[in-house]
Amino acid sequence: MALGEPKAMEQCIASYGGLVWSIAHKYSRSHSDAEDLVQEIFTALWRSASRFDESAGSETTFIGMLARRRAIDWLRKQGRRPDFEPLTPNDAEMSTFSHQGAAKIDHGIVMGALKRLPEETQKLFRFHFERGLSHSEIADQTGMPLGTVKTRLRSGLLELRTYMKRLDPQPNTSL
Amino acid sequence: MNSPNKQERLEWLDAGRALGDLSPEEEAEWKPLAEVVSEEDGSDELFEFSLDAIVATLEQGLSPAVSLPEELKDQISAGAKDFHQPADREVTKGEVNARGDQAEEENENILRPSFWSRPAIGWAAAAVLALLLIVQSRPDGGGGADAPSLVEQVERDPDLLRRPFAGTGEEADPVGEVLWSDTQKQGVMLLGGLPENDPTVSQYQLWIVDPARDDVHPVDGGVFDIPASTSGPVVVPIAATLPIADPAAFVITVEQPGGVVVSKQEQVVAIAKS
Repeated sequence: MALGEPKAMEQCIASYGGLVWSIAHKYSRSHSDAEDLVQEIFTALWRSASRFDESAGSETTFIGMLARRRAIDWLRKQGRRPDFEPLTPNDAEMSTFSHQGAAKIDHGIVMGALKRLPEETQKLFRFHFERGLSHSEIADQTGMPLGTVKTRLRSGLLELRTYMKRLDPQPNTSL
Repeated sequence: MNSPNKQERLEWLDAGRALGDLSPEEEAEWKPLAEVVSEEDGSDELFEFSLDAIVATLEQGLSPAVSLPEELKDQISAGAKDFHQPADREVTKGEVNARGDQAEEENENILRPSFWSRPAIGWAAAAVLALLLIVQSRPDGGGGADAPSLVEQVERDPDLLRRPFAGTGEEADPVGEVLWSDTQKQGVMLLGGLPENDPTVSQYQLWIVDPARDDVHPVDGGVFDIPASTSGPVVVPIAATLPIADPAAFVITVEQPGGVVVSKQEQVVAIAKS
């Protein structure tokens, strides 16, 4: 794909188009915005393809991370989500994009760890990831203060990572 | 701040970065702190389970399964080719005209789907002067020449759910019904009596109340327009953004252009329910 091999690019579009579309759809509020964002994500993907390292993480994770970063950056450019101050322009540039640390991210383990979180935290995660709601929109929906939403999402994410480490099938060789 | 505290603080800020909710002050704090912790610790542990990657996996795992619309897929494929083979010529006038002709042809194709004449759809047959197919503004809304066949397709479901629309006492006096196939997980609205809208000012949005999924928050069923030229009922494919389990009601609201994620239901114009 990094070489511009047409078949590989077609295969990438076929395999991950739905994922990218799903992310773009959640972070935009209109058909035309979502279309623009999808095109932007794929353009970034063609540019960044040479940075993919399969030993660092799966293709799905690589594309998912890239799509999400572009979506967040796109929101920032649109001036949307005032409570949502994401990446600096430099961070958002794909020249610095890396999926280091993604090697141990297994879909089953992540979703398994999610189920161990308190029900209320899971609900916040669903609002954020399934529906693409901003923190303030979640606060409106749940009646929680904005700061509480932010705190619970962050602490939930860290807690989830802790569970993942426990669920990691590989023994800790550092002991 | 001692090292453990610094590391904890960095993790907290990392979580904010991954979720995209760092304040400008936190963003400014993160950079020097990350450098200090990296120098003091030198451990790769923090990077073993990248929060960015976890978040991307959650995004994927919790997102409803959708397909890239074919038209957009074609555009991206064309863009991919152009990316590695930069254009060395301008689009000719002939090509532009050809595209225009094709668009006109498509416009012709969206008129008068054959199913309308069937007696099964009788709620407003007498009022039909013309039938216009509404192409939904939402990406997965389908539309185009596929909508009439969509009606035929859902009508094949022996357990097809039909729910008539009723007004809410607002200006609009809607008539029509919802056809929903639970087996096929798709449906269509046949609508009349809604006033035309200016898409730059407001748009209609469908909401699907599904207590089996969430008894508080209805599912976004797509945004659509009623064009000025409409003099009869319209056909609107339902474009649910999440899987529907057991729809109890279908509600149409008027929202800002592009629709909203959560409706305040300030202007409800039609409801179809059991």
